[in-house]
Amino acid sequence: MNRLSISISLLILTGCGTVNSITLNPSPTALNPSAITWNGDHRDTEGFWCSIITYGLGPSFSAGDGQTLSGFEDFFDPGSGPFPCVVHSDDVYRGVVAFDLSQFDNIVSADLKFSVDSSVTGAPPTFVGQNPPACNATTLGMASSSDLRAFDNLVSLPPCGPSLDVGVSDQVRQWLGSPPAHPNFGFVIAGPKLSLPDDLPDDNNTNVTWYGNFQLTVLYDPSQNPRAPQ
Amino acid sequence: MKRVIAGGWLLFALAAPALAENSPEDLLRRLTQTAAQGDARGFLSNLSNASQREFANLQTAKTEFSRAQQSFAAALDQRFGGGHQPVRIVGDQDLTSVLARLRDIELLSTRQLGPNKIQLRVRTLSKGFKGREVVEEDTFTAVREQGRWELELANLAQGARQITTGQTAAFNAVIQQVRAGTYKDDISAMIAAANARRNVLQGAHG
Repeated sequence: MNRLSISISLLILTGCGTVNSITLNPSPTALNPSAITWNGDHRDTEGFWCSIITYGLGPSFSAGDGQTLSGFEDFFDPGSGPFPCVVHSDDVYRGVVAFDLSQFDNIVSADLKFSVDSSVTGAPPTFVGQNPPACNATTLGMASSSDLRAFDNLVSLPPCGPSLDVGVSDQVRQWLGSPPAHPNFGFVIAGPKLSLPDDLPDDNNTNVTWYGNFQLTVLYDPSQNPRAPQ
Repeated sequence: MKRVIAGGWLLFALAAPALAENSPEDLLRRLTQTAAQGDARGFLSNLSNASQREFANLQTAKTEFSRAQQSFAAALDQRFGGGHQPVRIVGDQDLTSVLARLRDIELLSTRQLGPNKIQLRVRTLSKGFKGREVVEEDTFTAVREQGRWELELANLAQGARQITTGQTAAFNAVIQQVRAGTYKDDISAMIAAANARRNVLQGAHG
């Protein structure tokens, strides 16, 4: 029995009034102009002299429209040949997905669903796609700053499958009200590394997953949400 | 005779500051000072002429690499739909930021390699991630050009340029394949580009 069915059953049992359901697609919020995007952190470590002269580095992956990604990319070059510098260059990728909830004042429940579309793993020296895709994101958070990099209220994502279903009623409630308890910059999907470690590893491991088809299903009492469909 | 000796001392006294300014120690001092001032151009002016040329070539290669990254994203957008433009990643460092990390360069020893060439063994103190102290000991060559010692980094810059140019070529090859419809989806193309770039590095390091 999924979360939606449980919520409806509970409402029937408790004798509540009408409950409507609406499924939302990602959309910009007043604080986040991107419905769905991604960001990341990057750091190179080299000695001072080698940092002056670096070669082209940077993240290898991005996400197309409607998708986002989560994972990491470690690059390690022990240095030899024409460029005898030890190079670490690491990236973490984090997805950000926002929903406009301005029509709600109060909700019964909310569920976030999304599909696990593709993944890549770096088996040095080559990258390979995985079938079925692996889930690299481990954590769902709430973006807490306008640059969409900081996030809080972390919860673990469920085990991997073709699609994931996460109860997000508590998070959505924090975005409602005036003023809301939490600014609505959207959800962050992160992991397995939430940030870059202090000491970058001596490896070339890469694990990245692309996620898509994000939908937020909201149950609400129309009498308490006059701006929502009645 | 006394006058000659006195004159000789006078000449030495006058020449001493000039000699100090043209010493390897002075080269290291100039590098440290320009770095502390955030003067990237001044810092680079203390590299040998060949190094400055190679450094300029490297900058051109990096610009072409960035352009290839953008073109790759545009090719993905065109073939598979929008959204692939690289998002700004926090953490990229420009030269001024790197120079700001430098704290000190200490000359440990020298070995004369010729009248205008000297090997320098130096200990460099810089600030790393989260302000951690990083100490490196390196051997460099300095060359005297127009009477002034300058640091030789041409080989390093040339190596970096070769790798950057190779990665750009790898990107451009995958861009052609994207346009030709070689890949079933955008992720396959990104994997191909990433592999091609790694192959360049593997090739560079034998």
